[in-house]
Amino acid sequence: MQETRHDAARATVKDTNAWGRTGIGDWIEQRASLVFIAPAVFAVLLLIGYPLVWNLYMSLQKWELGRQPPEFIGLTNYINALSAPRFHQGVFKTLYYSALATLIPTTLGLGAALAFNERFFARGVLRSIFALPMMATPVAVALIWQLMYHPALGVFNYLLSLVNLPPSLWVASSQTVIPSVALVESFQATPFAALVILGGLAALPAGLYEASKIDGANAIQRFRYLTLPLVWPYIVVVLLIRSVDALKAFDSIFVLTQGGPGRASETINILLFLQAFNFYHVGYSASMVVMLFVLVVGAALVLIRLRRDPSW
Amino acid sequence: MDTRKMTRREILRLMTAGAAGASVLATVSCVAPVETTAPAAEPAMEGFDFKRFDGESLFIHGENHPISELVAEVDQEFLELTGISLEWELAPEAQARQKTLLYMQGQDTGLDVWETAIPIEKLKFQSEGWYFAINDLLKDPNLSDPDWDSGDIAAAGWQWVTLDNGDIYALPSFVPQIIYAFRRDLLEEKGIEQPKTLEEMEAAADALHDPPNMYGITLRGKAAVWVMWGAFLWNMGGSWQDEDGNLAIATPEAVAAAETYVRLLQNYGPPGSTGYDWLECSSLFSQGQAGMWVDGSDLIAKSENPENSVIADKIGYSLLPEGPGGQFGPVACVGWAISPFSQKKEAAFYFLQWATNKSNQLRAMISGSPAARVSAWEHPDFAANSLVPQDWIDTCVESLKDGVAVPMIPEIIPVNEFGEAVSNALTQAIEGGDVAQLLQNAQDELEPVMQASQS
Repeated sequence: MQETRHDAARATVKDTNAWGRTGIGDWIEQRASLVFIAPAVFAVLLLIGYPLVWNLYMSLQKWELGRQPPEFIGLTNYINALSAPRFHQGVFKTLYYSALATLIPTTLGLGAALAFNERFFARGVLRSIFALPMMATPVAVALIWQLMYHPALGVFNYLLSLVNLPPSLWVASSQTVIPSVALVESFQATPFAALVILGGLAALPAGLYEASKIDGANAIQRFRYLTLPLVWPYIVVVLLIRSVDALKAFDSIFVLTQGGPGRASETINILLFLQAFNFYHVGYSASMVVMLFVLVVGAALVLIRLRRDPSW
Repeated sequence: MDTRKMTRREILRLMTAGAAGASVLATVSCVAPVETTAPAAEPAMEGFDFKRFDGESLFIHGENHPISELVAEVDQEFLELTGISLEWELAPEAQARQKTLLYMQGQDTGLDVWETAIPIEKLKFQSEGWYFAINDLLKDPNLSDPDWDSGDIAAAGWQWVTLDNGDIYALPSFVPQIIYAFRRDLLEEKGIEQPKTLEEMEAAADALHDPPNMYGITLRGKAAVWVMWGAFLWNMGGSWQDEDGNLAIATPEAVAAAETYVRLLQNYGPPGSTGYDWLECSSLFSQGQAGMWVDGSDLIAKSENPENSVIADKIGYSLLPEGPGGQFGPVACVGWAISPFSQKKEAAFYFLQWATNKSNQLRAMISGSPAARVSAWEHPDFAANSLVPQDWIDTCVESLKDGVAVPMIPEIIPVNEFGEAVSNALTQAIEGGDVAQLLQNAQDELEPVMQASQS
């Protein structure tokens, strides 16, 4: 009786194994990696892949917001955009803005990281305070800067007057609008750049610096020949993330200027937003999205290549 | 057969015959042409059934504007009256309009009522079939509250919400106009008479101009600059379009209007006027740093609130001073419309009537928002409780009169493109560009857009 029960149990285990080897359990075991990444792949396809493909489809249609059905027109939207002076100006303004909104925070962030890498009183507290702008909502920051930029009532012109400098028109002038908006973006992005570079600085080997001091290298030489090459990969990471962020910037520009004065700060993002939601040309706007996407991916590839460049 | 089309001014004259102002000024005799007045409902046989849709709920999408915020604040009254609960979504003007487009494009059945910015949306929404005609609901004695009183709505309001085919697609709630505000106290101090002409206005701006403490005038120079320029355009003898419907923004009158506007800002405006929207103008004017301001009547009225303004009770009002073409009052309209995709249109019609009833319109008037109801303007509570002085009321009423009211915004489908292109031209002109050339460029840019919209 006892033996029978034992045999029965063994038979059950054997059956289970047999089922497991040939059934769904084995299948899962063999493809565990696929199973684990499936939710992420599904999410990416749904949230990124589908909109991307749908946008590509839209960009090939004459599609006005409304009930009129879309009409396939091939690359006409692209040709129209590429032959429109307004689009060319938009590309130039996007690149101008992106260059400023990338280089200013990276440079300031590098300086701040070098400063915060030194030991001094209340360093931890100051680091925390320095990181605060990064945590604020971009729209809220832009609204506050809008008040500070007010040519007649704003604090910036008041501060300039204290040191006997003439007032600036900031975002109210075609000449100064893009640097002014880039400054707002830089205010928010500099702490991020500083934190990443600071991480790089913290990982640098102290022995190298001691050796270089013994060899007689001064502070500038140590920075140029030791620090900069060693933290370069971190700087490239900052440049990469910042440039992608700057190329697709919308919120702060929209809040501060809506592309104005006139069209002086009309980047591609602002232009395509106007085309889609104010002028109802969604197909045309979609073609600009695709071109902006290409621009962003191109910039990212260049920077990734730069990171791999061993010459630094 | 005379095939000449009526000009917009003639249409406006017709439609505003005896509008709100007529009644307030006791000239009721010429109220509202028949075709623009909503048909009155036959009285219901028994008492009106307010609880007919008890337990329903409606989704309302509108703008962050006093007229809608006031109604949203008292929606409990609607619930008690009808048993219908309201879910609100109020957003800033630009975002609200964009979201309306998305609701319509998606044929969203969840949206029941939205606040339609009529001059902007009218032709586009009509062409897309995004308006639902409420003529039958207005005539239905079981759905139309007998106390709602359609005859009390200003004729200008009815005209704005009526399509060419006679369909009524909204109930008007708000009829703002562009007016001229000036520092009465400062002009009196300097012994200057209230400006009656554009030349006198410029001279007064010059007299008041004492930067950086006081600027002669503040005007919009940003995105909506074109709407304010429109007031100068009409007074200079121009109009949005010619008699054939072609754009008329580069005519000698249009250029003269733009030159006046630009000159005022360049010579007597604050620095950086190209960054000024109504809020910046309002701040400067309310802080006592600008001598004059031309803008929407409801926005200017905020400067009469002593909590936010140091110049309350010191402001005088009139229509924009007379130019070579006369003196006009540009008027627009906002209303509540039922979504054609709503599944609860009859309940939504209850909301439309309640939102535009006499008590809610009176609330709007008291808050400084020009209402569409004549009775709200006339109500003693308005005069007793409002912060605005009598000449603000007189000016608004004047703007609605026959021969004075003109469209604040052109009735064309690509109105957003029009506004953006004209604003771009004007902003560049304020920064020192050639006014005539810039307006011509805008006209050239817009003509193909107009043609495409008509095809």
